[in-house]
Amino acid sequence: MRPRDALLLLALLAPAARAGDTWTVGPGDDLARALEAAEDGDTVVVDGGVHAPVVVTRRLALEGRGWPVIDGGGRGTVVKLAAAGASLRGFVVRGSGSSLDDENSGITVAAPDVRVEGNRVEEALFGVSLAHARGSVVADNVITGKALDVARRGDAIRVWYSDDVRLERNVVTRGRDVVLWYSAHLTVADNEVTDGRYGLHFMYTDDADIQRNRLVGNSVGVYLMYSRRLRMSHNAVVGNRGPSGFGLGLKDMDECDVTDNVFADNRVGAYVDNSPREAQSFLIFRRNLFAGNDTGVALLPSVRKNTYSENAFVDNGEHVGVLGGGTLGANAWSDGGRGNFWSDYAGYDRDGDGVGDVPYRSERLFEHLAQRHPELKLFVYTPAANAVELAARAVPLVRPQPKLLDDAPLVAPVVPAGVPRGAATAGAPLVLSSAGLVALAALVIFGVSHRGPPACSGGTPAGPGAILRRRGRTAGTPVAVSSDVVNLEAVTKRFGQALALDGLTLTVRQGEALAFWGANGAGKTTALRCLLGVIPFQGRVTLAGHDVRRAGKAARRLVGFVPQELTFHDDLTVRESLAFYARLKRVPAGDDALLARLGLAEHAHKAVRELSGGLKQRLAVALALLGDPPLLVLDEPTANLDAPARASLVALLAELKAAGKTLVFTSHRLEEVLALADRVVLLEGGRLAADVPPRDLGERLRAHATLHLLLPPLAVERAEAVLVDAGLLPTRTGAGLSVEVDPAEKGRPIALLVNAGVPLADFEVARTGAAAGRS
Amino acid sequence: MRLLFPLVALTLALAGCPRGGARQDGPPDVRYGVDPCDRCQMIVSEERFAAAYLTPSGAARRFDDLGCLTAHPQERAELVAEVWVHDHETRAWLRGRDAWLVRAPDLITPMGTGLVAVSDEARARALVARAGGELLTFEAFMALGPRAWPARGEAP
Repeated sequence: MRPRDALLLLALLAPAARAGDTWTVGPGDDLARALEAAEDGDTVVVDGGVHAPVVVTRRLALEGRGWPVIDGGGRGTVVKLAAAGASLRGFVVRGSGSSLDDENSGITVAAPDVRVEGNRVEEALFGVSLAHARGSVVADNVITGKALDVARRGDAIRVWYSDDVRLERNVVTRGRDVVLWYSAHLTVADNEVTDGRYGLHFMYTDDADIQRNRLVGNSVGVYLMYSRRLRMSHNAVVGNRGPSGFGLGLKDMDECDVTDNVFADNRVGAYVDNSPREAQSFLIFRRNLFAGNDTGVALLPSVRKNTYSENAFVDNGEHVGVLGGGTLGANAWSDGGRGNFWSDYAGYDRDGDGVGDVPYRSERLFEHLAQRHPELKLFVYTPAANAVELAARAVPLVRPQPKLLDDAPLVAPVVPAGVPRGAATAGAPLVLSSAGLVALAALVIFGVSHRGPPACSGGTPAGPGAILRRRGRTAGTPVAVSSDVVNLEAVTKRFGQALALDGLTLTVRQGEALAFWGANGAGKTTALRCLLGVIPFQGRVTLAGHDVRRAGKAARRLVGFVPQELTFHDDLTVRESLAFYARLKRVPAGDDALLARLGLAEHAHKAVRELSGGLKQRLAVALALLGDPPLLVLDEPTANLDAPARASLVALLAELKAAGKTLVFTSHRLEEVLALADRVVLLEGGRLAADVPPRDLGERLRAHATLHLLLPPLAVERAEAVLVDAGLLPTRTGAGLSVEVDPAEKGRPIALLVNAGVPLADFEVARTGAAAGRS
Repeated sequence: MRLLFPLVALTLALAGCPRGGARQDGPPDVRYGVDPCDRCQMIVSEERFAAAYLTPSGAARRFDDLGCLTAHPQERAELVAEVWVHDHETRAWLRGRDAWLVRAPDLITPMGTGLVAVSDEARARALVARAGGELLTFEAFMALGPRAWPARGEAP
C-alpha cells in the first residue's frame, strides 16, 4: 500500500490498513488520531508541524521528517511510549509540565524494546524516563532541561527497572541527573552530560559498561553505588565542581575496573567509600589521569583492596587524601612492578627502566592536618601552609606517618588513550578542556599550570621591564624591585646518597639567556627542576622575588616551560591544544598572532599527530608562551630535532630573546649555545665549574681528546651503560663507541670497561679538538 | 617551629567549633543544593525528602533520603537525640516521632528507598492506598538501618 494521508484514511475508516503500512501525517493533521488508526508494525511518518502530546499504545515506528514538534504546552508528559517495540525518531519534543511529584517528562517509556533515537527534547522537566523498559535504546538524542535551579529540575534521563538498556551518543545539558537504578547489563557509551547535578548516577546496576562518555561541568561527574562488576573506561570527567565535586564517586562497589579515564579539574578526582564492600572483592584503578583536581583520589580510611597502577597524578592540590586522616596501607600502589606517576616525585631512574629507584612517599604535613581538620583547607597555597611544610622538614618530629608508599613510581606518565574529544554540539571551551587534558605531561609535570591570570598580561611580548610590571604575589603586596629574574642561593639537592647539586648559586638577569652545560648527571635538569620549585631542595630559589617554595604559584606564573620529552594529545588540532592549555592555565587563549609568530598559523587546523617534530617543538613553545610569561625555561629544546628544525627553533628563540624574554635552557650543542646564550654555566658533578661567556666554552672544550673504543656488537650496549654511569658521554659508531675525555684521562674509559668485564677489542685516540658533547 | 605553632593552635580552635549551625530546639539549617548528605555524600536538593538528626552533643547530620537517615546511626554507631523529617507533601519539618512514615517502593526518592513522611494518619493511609507500600512506626523506621535498601541484586 502506498503512503497516504492519515486523515483521508481516517475518513474512510481505513478498512484496508494492515500491519506494516506506512501512514503520513502532515503539518495540519491530527497525530493522535493517526496513532489510533495505525496498527502494530505500522510506520507513522510525520512531516513537520506542531502536534499535541501523544500516547503510543501500539508497536509503531514514529518517524519525523523536517523536525516535527510535539509540544506539551507546559503541562504533563509530552510523549508516552507504552507499547513494546515502539520507536520515536526525528522529533522535537518540548514543553513538559513542571511537576516533580508527577514526574512530568518529555518522553516516558513504559514498555520493553523501545527505541528513542535522534530526537531533540527541549524544555522538559524530566527528559527521557524509562521504567520497566528492558532492552530499550536511547541514542543520538539532544536533551536540554528547563532553565530552573538544579534542585527543581527533573532527571535528564532516568532508567528504572530496565535491564539491558543502551544509552549511546546522547548530548545532555541542564538536567538534574542521569539516573540508572535497579537495572542490570546497561551500556552507557559516548554520551556527553554537562551542566547537571550528577552526570551519571548508578545504583543497583550490576554489570554495566561506561565508556567514552564526557561528564563536564556537573556537580558530580559519575556516582557509582551498590553495584558490582562495573567497567568504566576512556571517559573524560572534567570540571565537576559542585559542593562535593567528585569526578567519580564510589560507594559500596565491588569488582570494579576503572581504566584509561581522565579525571581533571574536579574538586576530587575520585572518591572511594567502602569500596570494595566484600572481603574477596577488589577495585582497580589503572592508567587513569588525575590532573588539576583539588584532590586526586580521596579515600575513607576504611577503604581496602584498591589497586592503583600506572595512573598519572599530575598537579593535583593533593594527589591522595585520606578523609578523616590515617594511612592507606591496605591498598596497593603498584602492580606487577609498575606504580604510578607522581608529578612531585623527586627520585631518579638510574637504570632507565622507567621506574624510579626510590619509593614515592606521600607525607605532607599540611595535607595531614587539613584532612583531619577540613577547615584548614582554606589555607592551601598560602604562606601558612608553606610554613607548615617548612617546619616539617626542619623538625622531623612533626612529620606525619606517610599516607602511602609507591615502591615503583613511574618517571613518565602513561597517557590514557581513546578518551573522547567532545562533540561539536558542546561549548568550545569545554570540548577542548576535557580532551586536551589528556595531553598532560609536557606542560604540567613541572607544575606550570597557572591557577590565575597574570596580574598584568597583555597580548604583546614582554619587553624590557615586563617582569617588574607582572609582579604581585598577592594584591597589595609589593615585591622587591630587582632586575634579577632568577636567583639561586646555595641550592643543594641529594637523591639518596647521590649529590645531584652542590651549593649552586647564580643569578639570571632580566632579558638574559643562560645555558646550562655539562655531562649526563652533571645536574642540569636537576637545576631546572629546583628552579621550577617542583622538587624539594636545600637553599633558596626566587623568581623575580617570589620564593618558588613559599610562593610557588606566583613564581611559576612567571614561567613558561618546554620539557625535553613532549606529550600531546594527537587527536587535538594545534588551535584546540592552545585553547585547552589556555583554559588549564586560566589565561587568554593564544590568538592568530601567536600562531603566526611561532610559524604555526598554516597548521592551526592540523591534528598534532600530523605535525613534524620541529612543529611539535614549536607548539610546545607556543604553549609555554600562553599567558605571556617573561621567563622561558627549556630543557634540551632541540634534542630530538633534525638540523633544519634545530636551526629554525634556535632562530625563533633568538627572536623571543630579542623581544625581552629571559631564557634559561640546557643544551649539548655548542652552536645553539653560541647563538643564544649570553652566559654558560658549566656543571660538573653538581657543582658550578665555570660561569663563562659562550665564546669561552669552545676554548674549554677544545682541550678534550676523542677515544674510539672498538667493541663486539653485543657488548656495545653494556659498555655504553658503564661509561654513562661513570659520567662520560659515549656516542655509538659503526665499530663501537667514541667518547670525549680529558687528555690526561684517556685510560679511564678503558679501565672502566675492563673492570666491568666488558670485552674491548681495541681502542685508539683519533684526534683532539672540540668536544661533540652529549647529555 | 615558631610559624607552626599559630597554625596548630588555629587547627585546634577550629576543631573545637561545632559544625552546621545546629539548633538544639529545632531542625538544623539545610542548604539545599549545597550540603552533602552525611551518609552518601550526595547533594541534598529536595526539601520534601530531606531529613536530619541531632546527636546528644547537638551536632547535626543531614540526609537527602530517609533511608540514609536510618542507616547512618547504625553504620556509625552514633546516638540520636532528635530526628527531623519533612512532610512529603507540605514540605514542613516534622519531628520524627510525630510523623507518619510510609515505605512505598514505587515512590522515587533520591536514594531509591521509597521512604517518605507525612504529618497525619489520613494522608499517610491515602498515600499507601495510592502508591502501595506500608506504614511504619517510628521505631520500625529507625530499626531499618541499611535494610532500607534491598539486598543487592534484588528489586525492592
